[in-house]
Amino acid sequence: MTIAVFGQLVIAGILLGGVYALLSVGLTLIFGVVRIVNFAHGDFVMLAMYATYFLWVLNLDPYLAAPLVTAAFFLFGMAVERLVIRRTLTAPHLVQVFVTLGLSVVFVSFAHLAWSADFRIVRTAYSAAVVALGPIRVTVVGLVAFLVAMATSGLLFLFLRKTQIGAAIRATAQDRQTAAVMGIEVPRVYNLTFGLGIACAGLAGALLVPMYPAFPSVGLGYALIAFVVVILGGLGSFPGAIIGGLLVGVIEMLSGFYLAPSLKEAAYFALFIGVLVLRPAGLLGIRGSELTGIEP
Amino acid sequence: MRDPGEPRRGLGSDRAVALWGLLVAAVALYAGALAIRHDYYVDMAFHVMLWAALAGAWNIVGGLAGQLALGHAAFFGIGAYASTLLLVRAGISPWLGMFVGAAVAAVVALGLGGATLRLKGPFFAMTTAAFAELIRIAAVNWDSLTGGTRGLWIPWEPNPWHFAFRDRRSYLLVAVTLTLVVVVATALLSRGALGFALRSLKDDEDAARSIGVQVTRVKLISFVVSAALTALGGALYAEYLLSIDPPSVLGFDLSIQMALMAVIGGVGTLAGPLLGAFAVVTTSHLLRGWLGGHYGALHLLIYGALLIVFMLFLPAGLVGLLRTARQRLGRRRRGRVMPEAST
Amino acid sequence: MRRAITGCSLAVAMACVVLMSAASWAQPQPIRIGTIFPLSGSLALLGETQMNGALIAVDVVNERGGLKGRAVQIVKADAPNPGAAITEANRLIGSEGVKLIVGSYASSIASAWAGAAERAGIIHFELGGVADSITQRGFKNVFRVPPTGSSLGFAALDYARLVLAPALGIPSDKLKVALVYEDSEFGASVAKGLSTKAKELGIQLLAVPYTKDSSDLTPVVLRIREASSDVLLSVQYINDAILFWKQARQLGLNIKAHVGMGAGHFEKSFPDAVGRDANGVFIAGPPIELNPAGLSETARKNAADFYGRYEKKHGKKPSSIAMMGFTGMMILLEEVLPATANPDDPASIREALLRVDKPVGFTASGWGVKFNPPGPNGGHNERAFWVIRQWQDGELYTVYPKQFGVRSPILVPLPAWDKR
Repeated sequence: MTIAVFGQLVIAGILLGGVYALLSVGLTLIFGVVRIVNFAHGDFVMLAMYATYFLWVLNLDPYLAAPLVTAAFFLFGMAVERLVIRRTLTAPHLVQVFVTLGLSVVFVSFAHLAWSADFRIVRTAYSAAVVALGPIRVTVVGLVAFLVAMATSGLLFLFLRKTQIGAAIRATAQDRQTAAVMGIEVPRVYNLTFGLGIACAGLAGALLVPMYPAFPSVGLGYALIAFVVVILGGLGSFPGAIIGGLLVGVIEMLSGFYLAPSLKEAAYFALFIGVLVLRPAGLLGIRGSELTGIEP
Repeated sequence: MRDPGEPRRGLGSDRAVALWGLLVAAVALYAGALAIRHDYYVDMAFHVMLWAALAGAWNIVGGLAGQLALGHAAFFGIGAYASTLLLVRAGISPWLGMFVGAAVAAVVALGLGGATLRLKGPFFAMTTAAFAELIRIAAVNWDSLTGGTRGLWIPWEPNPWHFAFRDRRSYLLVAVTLTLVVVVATALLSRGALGFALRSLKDDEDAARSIGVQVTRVKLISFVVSAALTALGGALYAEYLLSIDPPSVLGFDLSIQMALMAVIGGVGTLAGPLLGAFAVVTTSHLLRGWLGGHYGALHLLIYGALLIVFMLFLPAGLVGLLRTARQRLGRRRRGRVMPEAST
Repeated sequence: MRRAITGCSLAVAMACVVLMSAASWAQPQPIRIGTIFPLSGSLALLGETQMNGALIAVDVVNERGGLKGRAVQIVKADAPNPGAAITEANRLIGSEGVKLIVGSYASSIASAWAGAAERAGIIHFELGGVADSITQRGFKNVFRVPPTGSSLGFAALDYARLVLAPALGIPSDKLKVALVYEDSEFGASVAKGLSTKAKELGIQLLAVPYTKDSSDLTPVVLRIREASSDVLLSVQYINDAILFWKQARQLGLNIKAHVGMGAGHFEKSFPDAVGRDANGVFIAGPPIELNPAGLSETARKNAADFYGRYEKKHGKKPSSIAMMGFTGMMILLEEVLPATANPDDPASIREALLRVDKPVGFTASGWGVKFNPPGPNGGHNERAFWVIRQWQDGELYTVYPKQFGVRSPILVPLPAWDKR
């Protein structure tokens, strides 16, 4: 029985971690390329949850809505970059932090004003469906979220590795000046990257809605977790974000059961500080990146 | 990172002017505090001065040393809990308890800083934020000591010795004093060899190290002083609230607010935190008072939008704005100096 | 020319203002009452709900002719956190000149501005904050209508051992009780009272606190499943209550009875989200929709008035959180203020508050009114109580105490998940 419990916790942690990974992939992309600490990342997820919810009210299944929402958030992300983020690129970190925090405040209070603080719940035929793998039981929605999140992260990874645009993004991430000299249109790369990062947040929101209600402050928790994952995995590292996401998910589940559910955050924050103190570049980050920091 | 608010003149270079400026500012602040009669404005002034002190304390590590700390809620909460626990559990006056809190915060900062101050930028920011969250979670879960999320409340019997005043202006006077202490501490730290070390560290850490500045030691000093002063603010706030719980004295939003006000005012300057606290506190209080009951979260929407616009167009803060204005004015009328610039 | 027009319209406008203020002189001045509720931030949803309930009472009284011909005017304030509560209390007292403030839904908000009201000598009339400490601080101006949070824990535990245990055929000293709660201030207050009581009674209790913002509660569900508890008592907020019950089904948590004590279980969002799985879940909480047989004539009339008006104004049925706001405000406007010598004088209001003496069944919530005199637990209303209700086919029905019950409990013990 205890083995079954352990297995259940690990599987639940991995499934949860898949969603964390998707969130973090978007954040690490923005963080690593545009060099912006996006404190509003979780609130983009919140807006995407609402978007999916309203499409569901119009009789569109959340999974059919997901591609639409993702595409819309890609454009939304590019618009936000063009209107707001671009103006802060040469500003100090602090200014960037407070601009994205300002965005966060605006998004949350907008959601509250426009849609009230009510909890919006999507209920579909498959909401409660469960798949049993021996004694281990997982929900269909959890499994779908995990698989889609992993597939998307994989595709994004391939996109960065195999395409010309991907190469341009990676070059810009490594050295903005040199990339510009090489003829890469850095502002366009930033615009595209920010859009891609926000599209990930949008997809994560669409995948979360069948599992979790939408409400104005739902994104705040996700932002914090995504930050922990990104820095844990190593700044700008794709595999790091995925492994970090899964790790945080599993730690959350195991510490919740064996330690105390109220201490789960303590467990991953402690791990986070521990990793940064002992191996400051994160688990898979490039050694030394924490010392150079992120210079604008 | 460029330094938008580097003092144009070192404070030590003209000590007499600085001292006189401080004296005048102190007299003006105390007199102003005593002149306010209306409780709402006393409360507003109290929040302005408290946040001026907190933003000023943050400015010591965030501005002078240029280290982006985002976990000062931990020190604030330590001050609040230490003084309240000593009062409630042991009957020790908060006048004493606040210094115990400051000492605890200093020790904690020494440990935390020793482990993390070599991290840079966002890494240092997120580690300090995570640490503050750990302290908050500890306060939530250590129920037998802290009362958990139910919090602690302070019995209210007016007794100046127990830091419980009938007249709210007394709290305001203490807050003014704390702000002045922070200003003096900032001024003292930015003088002499230490001030030079801080400035060089902030401009370029590697260069500072190469000319023999003990970078880690300098960072630690600023972090510890900043933490201790923040804890004093926490103790003061607890006595003002008369009841504390983890979200109200250990929440992440507190860490953000401290940094925010310093940035709005002008990072690294003496007057910046005071100006920033004044701008942010009065704006948010007045917006909430006018719109709060009627349009739900509209006051927050406006506040967030103002924040973005301000950051985009005035990244050097209010001090930067005043400086530009003075330069333009100075070109036309030589010799007139704004009071903010003299500090 | 344009200037002349502007001047003319300005003059007209000023004349209007003068006339209007003259007109307002002719009418009696309204009685101004401040309200402090969290209307933004994470407490906003239910803070606003409670305020809306209280505002229905104001509508009712104003339409019935006000207080001795004087209209009741509400001055609203938004207090998303304790610091803001103090600021807003000072604004209401200092700038708006109110002598009486009601609030606050959340105890942390109530605790903070209670101090500000006490300093200023203004009446704090509490409609919703239930933390025991609110009336234990020796403040002489704080009056609270609802019962305490710890007594909510007692009510649920009593129901479990006195009603559910016999129905399940388990002796109460053998009953295995699990307590799950989100560790915010409300959950912790209820849990504290409940744990103390369980220890006194010698009941085995497994307490599992967790944080509200969790996206997965597998560890919490598994802990209870592995302890094979009989009865589950819970204090949960909306999102976590939904998540918990979904995951309880997913992970095959077969509990014999579940009594929820938090907002998560008595809001309509619960059956909306979990559908038929809500059936059979009990809630312990503030009363609403009681059996009219147990109510006074006035209470029946007020309750009917409230349900009709609330639905008309807000397009949905009122929740018990709104009912708390309504009941408290009606007590204030119908029983307290008319009995004062001067409704603008705090001392006079205080006297009237201490004089009110109404039996159980008198108000729309079934609560009686008798505030404790100054001293230990001064200002606490001894005649308020919690009720037990149950989800039956998507609706909540009061089942306990007997005199207010409208239906008998069903599904004890809870059948398999697909038979609910």
